[in-house]
Amino acid sequence: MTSLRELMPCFQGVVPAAIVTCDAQGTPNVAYLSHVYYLDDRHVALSCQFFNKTKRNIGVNPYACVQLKHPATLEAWRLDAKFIRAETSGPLFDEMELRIQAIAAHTGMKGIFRLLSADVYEVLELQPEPGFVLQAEGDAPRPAMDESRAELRSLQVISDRVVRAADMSELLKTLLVSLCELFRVNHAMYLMHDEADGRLYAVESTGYDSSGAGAEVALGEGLIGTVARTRRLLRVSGMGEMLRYGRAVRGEMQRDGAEVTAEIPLPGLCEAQSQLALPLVVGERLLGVLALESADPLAFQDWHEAYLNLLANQAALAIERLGERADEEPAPEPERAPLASRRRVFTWYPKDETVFCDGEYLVRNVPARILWKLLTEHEQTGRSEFGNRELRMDDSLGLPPYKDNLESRLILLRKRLDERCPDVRIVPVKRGRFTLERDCELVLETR
Amino acid sequence: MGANLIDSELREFLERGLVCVIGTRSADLRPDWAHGVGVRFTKNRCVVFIEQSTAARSITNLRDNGMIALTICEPATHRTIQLKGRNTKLRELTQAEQRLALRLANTARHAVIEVGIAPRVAAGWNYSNLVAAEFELTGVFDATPGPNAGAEVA
Repeated sequence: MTSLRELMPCFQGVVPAAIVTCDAQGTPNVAYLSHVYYLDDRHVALSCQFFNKTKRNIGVNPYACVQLKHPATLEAWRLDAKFIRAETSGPLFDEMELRIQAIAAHTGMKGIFRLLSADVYEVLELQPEPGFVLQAEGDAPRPAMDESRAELRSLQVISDRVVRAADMSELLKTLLVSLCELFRVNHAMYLMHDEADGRLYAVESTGYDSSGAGAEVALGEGLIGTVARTRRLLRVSGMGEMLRYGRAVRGEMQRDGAEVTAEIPLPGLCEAQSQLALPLVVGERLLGVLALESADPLAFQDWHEAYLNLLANQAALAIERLGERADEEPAPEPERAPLASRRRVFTWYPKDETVFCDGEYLVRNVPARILWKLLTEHEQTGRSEFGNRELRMDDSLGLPPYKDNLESRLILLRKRLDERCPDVRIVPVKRGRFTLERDCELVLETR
Repeated sequence: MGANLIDSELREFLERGLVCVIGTRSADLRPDWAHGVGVRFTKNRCVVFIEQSTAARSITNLRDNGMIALTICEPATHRTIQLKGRNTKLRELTQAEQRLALRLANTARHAVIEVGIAPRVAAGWNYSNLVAAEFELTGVFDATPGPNAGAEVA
């Protein structure tokens, strides 16, 4: 008999599975399943979001027949199964609920679309149905089902790079680029958790058309926000299918009179088909979220989760360590370059705590306060070198007294300037110190 | 109930040729699935075409007790309707039905290509050995995922 473990790609929810049950009078019922979860070689769990006919049927007749399909080849398997129990709490329920929460959070159904139970079935018989799809002549051999591989060596390389990074910028860049290499994906981003306002801000990214620095996600909002709120890893394969399912439920809920909210646009790739998001946590603190994306619906496998969890833990410790670094002493003030004839107008809106450059939004909150301080001091005194320590001592910036994420905020600010106003730059000169460089005349105004 | 209770919009949806999963059960109430293509309505009967290569058990079940359920699903929207029936009779397809089934199967293939299944994979979806299952319609239900799934629609 084929082993359930060999069917791992079928459990990713890319192609919907179907279940047939039968009531006591002998009337069969067909339903689609949003998620079939692999438990062990003899058990699966099916997600139950609504008290429906399937649920009523297995209450009187525990036998079911499930149709599972391979997401790449459409090959089908027939699972004869027997309902064992419904779990409404515990690790299995939590794990399955996280996916439902992510769908709900993304499609505007937070709090109204939720997992009722994780229904555990014993698999009595598992049969491949080779006649379901005809293999054309000359077809390449079908991919092996067991995708698990050992990539310990690569993991070790990334681990070494991460722990040796000299500063936050190097650490984040190394982490994202190495992850993309190891997992053969092209898109990754890191979002910093700002404990002051409870939001996540994109700080570093790789593989996107623009850096996206400063993009915001609220806790509990969408996939990344759900990962941040629950502090648990989430892998979504077949994002398109997940969203189609979520939108169908949302439409039905709306017709039923439920108050749904707007869909949350995904940060990053609009054509993403897989996403893997990991919380970076040290002790009770959430430092940020690491998100990998791919246009391939099957980009991430089970083994990625375990490996990435290890790496995320190590990266979290490294971020924490670099955040605690003592600032170094100031270097002599460098000579100022002659100014070009260009002119840049920076506008500070104290009410919104926002800085605009030439009439366009640049940055807000703490990074905006930092930038305004640097610009005004530079204008008033001619100073161009600054240190992290003095920023930390300045109460007006509103940095938290402890674990202030200053390095990440400066990276965000540097990237926003790179993209929106390359004439003004923040350039690190040594650990804990940076210079404000400019190739333009500055005009500062407050409104 | 008669097919005349199905309104024209619903009938068009059901007869378009979308993804069809068939449910049956054995004498000892063990369920089974088969895949099919369909459907077509006559005055008091409904016909669906079942692919026999993966339906040995369901064919036996239908000969034994004639109880049938089937879903018609539009993958792009998840809109799903379930039909239930009894007194199913199996027979060979007429020549007109052979042509119809071919057309419906191609529509079903396009429906899955629309949601990202590779065209060459969808092309391999097997509808080469069909049998016609004609049954008496007993109920039409909304099966779109959501709070209204299971509600009778005709």
